[in-house]
Formats: sequence, structure tokens, C-alpha cells
Amino acid sequence: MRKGCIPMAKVFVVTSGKGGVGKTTITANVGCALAKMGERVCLIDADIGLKNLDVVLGVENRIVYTIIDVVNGNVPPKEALVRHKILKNLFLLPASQIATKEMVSPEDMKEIVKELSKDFDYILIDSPAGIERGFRNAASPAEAALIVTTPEIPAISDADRVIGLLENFGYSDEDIKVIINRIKPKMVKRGDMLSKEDIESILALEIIGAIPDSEEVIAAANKGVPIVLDGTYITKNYENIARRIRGEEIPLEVDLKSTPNKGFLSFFKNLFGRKG
Amino acid sequence: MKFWFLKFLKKKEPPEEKRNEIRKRLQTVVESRRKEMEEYQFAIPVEKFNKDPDEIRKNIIRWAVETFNVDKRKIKVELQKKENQVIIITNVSLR
Repeated sequence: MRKGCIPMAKVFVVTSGKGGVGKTTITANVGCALAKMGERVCLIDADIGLKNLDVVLGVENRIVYTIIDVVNGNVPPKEALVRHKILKNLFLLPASQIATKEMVSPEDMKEIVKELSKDFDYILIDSPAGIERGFRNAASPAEAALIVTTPEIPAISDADRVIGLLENFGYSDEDIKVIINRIKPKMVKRGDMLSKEDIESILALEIIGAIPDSEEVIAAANKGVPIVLDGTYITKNYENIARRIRGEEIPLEVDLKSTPNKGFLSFFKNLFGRKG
Repeated sequence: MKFWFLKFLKKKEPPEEKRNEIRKRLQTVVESRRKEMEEYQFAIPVEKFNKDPDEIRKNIIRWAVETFNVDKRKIKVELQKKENQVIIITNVSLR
């Protein structure tokens, strides 16, 4: 565990450097997967000013208080939490859309996490893109980091930069894990995309999950139902990440093999409007 | 456009070579980036500095040699006096 961080709940920051790589989707789905396994999970949206985690989780209409109310001392952190509709042990501390990242400090975040960590097994902090204040706010109370990257040069080089910054914050190599999002096995096979091994050798960190590119993720985000609760072929990948976080040993090859079901039976299922 | 059929005759690059090329590009991008270093702060008393600035310079070089594991010839330390302050500029060539 890194120095100066808060014990009790295991606290992760989900970050990337580059925007649009899928941090929020991964935070929501890994959180749901952990909650499905019976863990008490709290998600914190640290993307103040933009906020999307509530929308991906489908709880945007249930928000009464936000993290800014907690920072201003209007309510204690527990009172600002929003409970998920289906998973009763999954909570969200929402961000505010009308505030700015500068209204929260790393010390505020540490205080909030310290308070919440008594009641949860896992806390996942969804970091905003970039390496400025918002990223520092999100990274300061965490003990470990999940770096999300897509298999393309700008995303990986930004991930590398973020890893360097996290190391300066006191994170060790064991505290930082990588998730490869939107991997396309066919493109890797053709040589048009970097493979899991390539990314692993460049970032020199353990890869804790690989999620294939899927249209279903977009559809799920639009429905406000995390894909983990929708039961598609990709669900397993998020569940495997959750299992690895809990300490189970599952080979990554399992994740890379998952592909949409395009078999004979699936064709007829799709024809009659059922999920493949 | 006229010679579109020549595309069929063009030899395809093997996937491993294509990936190697991407890997090399990424390696260059990552390596050319300025690495973030941990911040180190030193407090040097004014009297000590005025007495022997060369000694300060030597100490900085010694520290940089140990920290970055480079030859001392690759370290350049400049001391500039401006108004009431002394600015120490240290350049370490890591290549």
C-alpha cells in the first residue's frame, strides 16, 4: 500500500491521461461487477464540471446532493450518495455540473474517501482526462490505479506519462494496473493494431483486463444500464477484471478470446429479436 | 486510379512487420517525452553559498551523478545571480 493513503476500503483511481478511452464506462462496469459479487462498492465521479458516471449508471434523476455539497460542508459524504436501482450495494457520489475542478482540493478528496472507506469494500474514483488538478484530486486518496488505454499510440503514450506522474506521487509498479479497452483481435492479427504483449512491454506493467471493441457498450450507455447487467458476451471481461482485483488468478487470454456470438443459432435468435 | 489492378500484385507486408513499425513509432514517442521527475528541494544558506559557490556546484554534480546514474561530464550546472536571488540551472543529458 502506498504511503499516506487511506486504509480499510480498497481505493482505486481509474485514469488514462487521454480522454475518450472509456474510463467512465470501465468504472461503472467494474463497479457493478464487484457489487454483483457481493462487495460493498462506492463510485466517486471526480470529473467535476462534466460528470457522466451517473448517466452511464442510469441514476441521473436520483441525484440530490453532489460532491460539492460535501466539500462545502452542507451534507456528510454518506448523505450525498445515490444508491443504484438494481444493485443495492452499489453507491455513487456524483459530481456537480455547475462547479469547477478547482473547487475541490486533493485534501478534500482524502477527507471524503477517509469518511466513506469505513462503509465500503471498494471505492473506485473516476478521474477526468488530463494531468491537471482534476487528475491530482482523483489520484491523491487512492492506493492503486487502473490505467485505461486503447491500443493506439496517442492513448498509450499518454498512459505512459500518467504512469510516470503516479510513480512521482508514490505509487509503486505493483499499485498500477493497465486495462486495454476497445481491442480488435482481427486488426491485431493483420498487424494494424498493437497486441496486448506490445502494450505490456512498452508500459512495463501488469495488464489486468482487455475489453474488445463492441457496439453493445455504446447501446448500454445510451440505455443507462451498464453492460455487466445486460448479460452480453463482453460481461465476462468486466467480471474477470473484478475477479483479478479481488485477487483471483485468471489468465488474460480468456478475455482476448471473447467475441460476439455470430453462430447459426445466434442468427435465428437475432431474427426473432432476442439477444445473441 | 488507372493502375488500381496493380494493388493486387503488390506484396503484402507481413503483420508482424507492420506491428513492429507501430511499436517503433510508439517507442520513439514515449522516449522523446520529457520524463517527470520527483521534486527535490534543497536549502543552501546564503553565507555558505557566497563563501564557495564552486563547492555547491560540485555537490550538485555529485548528487546528479548518483541520482541519474550518468557520467559527470553529462551534467552542466550554471549559477546565475539575479537581484537578491541565485538561480541554479542544472542540465542532465540522459542520452
